[in-house]
Amino acid sequence: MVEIEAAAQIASTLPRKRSVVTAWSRQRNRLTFWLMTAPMLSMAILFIAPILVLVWMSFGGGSDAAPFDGYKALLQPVYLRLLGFTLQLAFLSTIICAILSYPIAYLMANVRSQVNLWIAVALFISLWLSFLARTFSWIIILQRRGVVNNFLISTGLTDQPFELVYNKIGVYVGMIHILLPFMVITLIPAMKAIDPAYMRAALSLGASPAKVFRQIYLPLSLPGLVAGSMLVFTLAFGFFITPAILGGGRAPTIVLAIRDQIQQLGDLQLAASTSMVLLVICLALLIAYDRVSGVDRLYDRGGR
Amino acid sequence: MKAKRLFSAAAAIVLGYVLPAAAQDVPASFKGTGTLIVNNWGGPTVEKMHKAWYGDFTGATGIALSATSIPDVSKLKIMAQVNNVEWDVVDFEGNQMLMATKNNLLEPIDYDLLFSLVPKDQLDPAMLSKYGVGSTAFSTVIAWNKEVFPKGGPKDWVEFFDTQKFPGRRALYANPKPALEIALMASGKKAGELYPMNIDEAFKALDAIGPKVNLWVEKTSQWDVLIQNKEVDLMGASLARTMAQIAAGEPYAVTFNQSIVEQSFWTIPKGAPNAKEAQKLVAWMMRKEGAKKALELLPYYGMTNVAVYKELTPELISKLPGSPQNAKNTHKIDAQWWLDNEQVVRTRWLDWLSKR
Repeated sequence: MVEIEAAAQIASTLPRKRSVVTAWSRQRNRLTFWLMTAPMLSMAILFIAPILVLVWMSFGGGSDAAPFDGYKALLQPVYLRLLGFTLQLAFLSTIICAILSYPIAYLMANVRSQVNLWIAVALFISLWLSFLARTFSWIIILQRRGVVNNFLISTGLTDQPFELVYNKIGVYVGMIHILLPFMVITLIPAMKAIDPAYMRAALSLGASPAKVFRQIYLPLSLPGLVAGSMLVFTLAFGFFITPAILGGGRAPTIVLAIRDQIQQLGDLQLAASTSMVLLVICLALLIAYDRVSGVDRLYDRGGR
Repeated sequence: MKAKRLFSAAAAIVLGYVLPAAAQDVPASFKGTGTLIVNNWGGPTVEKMHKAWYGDFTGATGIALSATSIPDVSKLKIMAQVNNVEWDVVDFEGNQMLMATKNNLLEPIDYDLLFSLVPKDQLDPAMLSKYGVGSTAFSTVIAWNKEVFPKGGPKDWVEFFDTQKFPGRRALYANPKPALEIALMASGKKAGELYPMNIDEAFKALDAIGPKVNLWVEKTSQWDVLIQNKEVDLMGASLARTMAQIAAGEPYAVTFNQSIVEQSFWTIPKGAPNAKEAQKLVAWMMRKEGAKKALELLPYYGMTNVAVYKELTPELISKLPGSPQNAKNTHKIDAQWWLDNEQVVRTRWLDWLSKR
């Protein structure tokens, strides 16, 4: 009897309550709208407008060339080869970064110790240093009379120096060093958000630690891994000076071609077309990633 | 504005007392106001050179100077398109100047003004073009490690690639200009007889030397690191970088034979905010005094004011790429050929690199 009365009461208050919520939400919507104006406007001016200008230029805007000249020129095998190599470089760097970052991030997210602080300091310091300085420091370390080769020769492990730089090995070392902190920093919050109770529950029910990791921890940390991979891949895709220096001419990327198109050839249409192709590839990969894990889940709080 | 004018008037009076000689040196037509934005290649070396060229330009003329980098034709093109040219004087490489000229981006040089300050016979006529006056000449030379080759290094590019006579590691610029010129000279062509270049032939020559090049250098600053660490034994290197390292005690040596010179030019963009004052600076920088100071500071470049070579010590002259004895067998980059063929050559160069 009391229950029914209470239910009726709730039912009768509901419509009124909703109207109160509506007034509040209308106000809130208005507030949201005004607060969002500045960021939306700056997005439109700083991001969308330049991309539209780029699209316009890629179709011959601002020059007297035919609309599809730029895209047609991109069909030459050289550009496909450069693009293929750049994609391979970005993919491999991302995968190696993910494998190396995962244990570091796990340590930083789950183990409380002084060591964490030092790992964080090391990561952040390497983020602050300039790209070029870090690239050159790898030359000092990896070259024929560098730190690594000197050590190997002095210990008698080898009598001929290894070729560690001015080839693809050097390129990957340099790129991964620059990209690793981005991956670690994206992984940590995702890992911290995982409730340790899940693992404890699984362990107490008799699952092996390996199984707990495979079936619970890894899937729950996946959004962080995907977010980090997206960030690292996009950055790696745009690299050109590190591969150009550390590759010793053996790792030309598509971005190097864009630089030449702008600085040496003054062909802004071709440069814009090439950039548009890179943009479309990046967007396509973003959508593919979204299908795999859901970009919206990135902003979820892990497993909770 | 009024206060500013009053201040510069006061400054002029003070300077008139302090530096009467400087004030007398300058014709009245060189007096001016405002600030010139000079676009150069940046870096401490370039800044030093510019300071030497400027001398007391500001004190003598009342025109202030401010520097920015890096010369870029595409940027200038966009600036001109949106009607907002920011640069007054730009230090363009030869083919950049021609590209800018082709796009109608440059102001003609006021030679009447220039010759009113610097006698015409002091200047190399080859470096006075309608839209630009020679600034520096950048040299690429054969260099080698003296510890590896104590009996002397290669005397030309044919010997440079002779792996029997000179076994060792080699480095060249990762750039078709001057890699193609070097390849052609390595195939036996003479300096100065390379243009018009047969592109197929040049790439065939490149195929021949390609496997002998251990590393391709992307940035000029890499030469310092390579020399300091003896990473390579033979280089087709930047003269300025190599000489600076030799001066610092590194055991390297160079030859000027078959050196490759690329000329740069002072230019004034069309629509420059202070185009009139810019003409004065360009003329000013052609003076013997500035050229001499620049060469004493950094003796690695060629100069437009050739009268300067008579006033330098023989020791300094022996180091200069532009001095008559060293310039004898120099190969000059043909900027016009590169402008006409750059599109084809650069694409093919990337193709060549990406196949290796």
